[in-house]
Amino acid sequence: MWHLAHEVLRPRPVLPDASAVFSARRLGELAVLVILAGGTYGIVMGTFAGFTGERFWQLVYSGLKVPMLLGVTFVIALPSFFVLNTLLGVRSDFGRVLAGLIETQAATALLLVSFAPLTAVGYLSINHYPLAIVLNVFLFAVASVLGQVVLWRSYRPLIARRGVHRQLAWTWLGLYGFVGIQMAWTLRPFIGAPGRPTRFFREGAWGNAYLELANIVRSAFGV
Amino acid sequence: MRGRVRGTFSRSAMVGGRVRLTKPRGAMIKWFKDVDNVLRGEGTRLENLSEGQLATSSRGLVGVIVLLGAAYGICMGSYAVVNATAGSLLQMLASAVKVPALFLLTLAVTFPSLYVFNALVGSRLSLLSVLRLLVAGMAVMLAVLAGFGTIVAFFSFTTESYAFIVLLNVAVFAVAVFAVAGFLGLAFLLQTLQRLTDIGRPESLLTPPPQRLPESDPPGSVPREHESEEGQVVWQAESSSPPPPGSQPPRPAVGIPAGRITRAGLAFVLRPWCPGPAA
Repeated sequence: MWHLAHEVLRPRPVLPDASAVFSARRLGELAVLVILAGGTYGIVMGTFAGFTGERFWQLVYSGLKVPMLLGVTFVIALPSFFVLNTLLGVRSDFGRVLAGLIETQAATALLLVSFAPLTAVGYLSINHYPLAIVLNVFLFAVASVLGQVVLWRSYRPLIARRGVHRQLAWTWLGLYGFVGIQMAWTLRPFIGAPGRPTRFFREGAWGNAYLELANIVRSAFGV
Repeated sequence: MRGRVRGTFSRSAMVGGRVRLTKPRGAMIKWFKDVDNVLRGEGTRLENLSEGQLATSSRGLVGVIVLLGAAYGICMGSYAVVNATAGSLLQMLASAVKVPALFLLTLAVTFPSLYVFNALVGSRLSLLSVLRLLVAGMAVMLAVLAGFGTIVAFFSFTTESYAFIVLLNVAVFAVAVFAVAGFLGLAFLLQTLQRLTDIGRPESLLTPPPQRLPESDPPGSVPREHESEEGQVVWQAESSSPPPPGSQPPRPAVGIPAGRITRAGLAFVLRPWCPGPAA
């Protein structure tokens, strides 16, 4: 696993063979890496309101939710991306594309787990729940942006061969972001507000992230 | 390889106008292979087109259009089920019927005019070829829509706001996906029509000149027949003697707007697609 993590993070000088990259075993290992790394960060993320008694379950829930956030978003956004790739005539490259996308997920999860100590120290010095949310949103944003290094690294040789891959990579980011934001909203709470009961899904909070955003903007302008 | 995918129905099974599948599972796989071929541009390769027909089975494609449309309809109608609207399961079934109906009825309504317009502008395509082409274009659209189905279903499951779902389905998917799907599908359609029209010209010699394209491929382009070292070669019809100006056959684009307008009209007639809580 340690070797695989290094392989994902370090730049490769040559484009690997698709069959070598896209083997079922390797995919399984990458999935386990995402679950372990994302889960570890989730556990640390859920410790804000304590980790004894009922609060222990928040650690378990958060440990499940972070890999779910990455994995389920990926699965929901993938079919449309596959059709677009086929339609634009680059289906033969899809093995490499898929390997690159999964490695990006793994890299994002690895970045998150590397931030886990920062979050833990941050929680020790933060007493304010909204500030904990801001800290985590910021770290997730940084991990997502830095994870793109792996995405573009795997896409670079593909773009050199067929220019349409560039537009497709941006399309993937758009699709993934659109679904991912709603997924993060649906799966909340990740941190667990002090004083509120521990639940997997927040009660009565099934809703839409984009509408909430619109409401925030509307109230900011006093409309 | 590119042998035409034969009809997936056994002729002996067609009794009394009713078609019965001999091997449903095998037939289904063949249908999806047909759509895959169309999506990848395999079905519209030049050597197949030079035989004057598309290497796809229209019956198979219609079958897949119905299945993919129904899949998208279920995703669309799942909002009603999740939000426990009265008669929600029936509504989901209705949506599953209505999406393929929208596309197939549009085809039925616009096909005669498209064929007449094509004939008017000098296309030498046969009635059957135009029909196959339209069905193939429609299969591309439905494949793209069904591809986005998971996203629609996810938002339907997690959103309570009816307005947002309408906005997502009507605005985002009508404007974005329908437009993307329509654009890609129609670009594919126009390209193939152009190819077939070129093939129909007796003086045309189809050769692959080493002409470079701009950096990126145009949307809707199908895989190249031959690629140069740079992989950026396009097919082009070349005349042995340059034709006089104005003698080029016009692009057979007439009839496409008619299809769009008709589809919008039918979409209005067939509503509701995902009824609100009060429905």
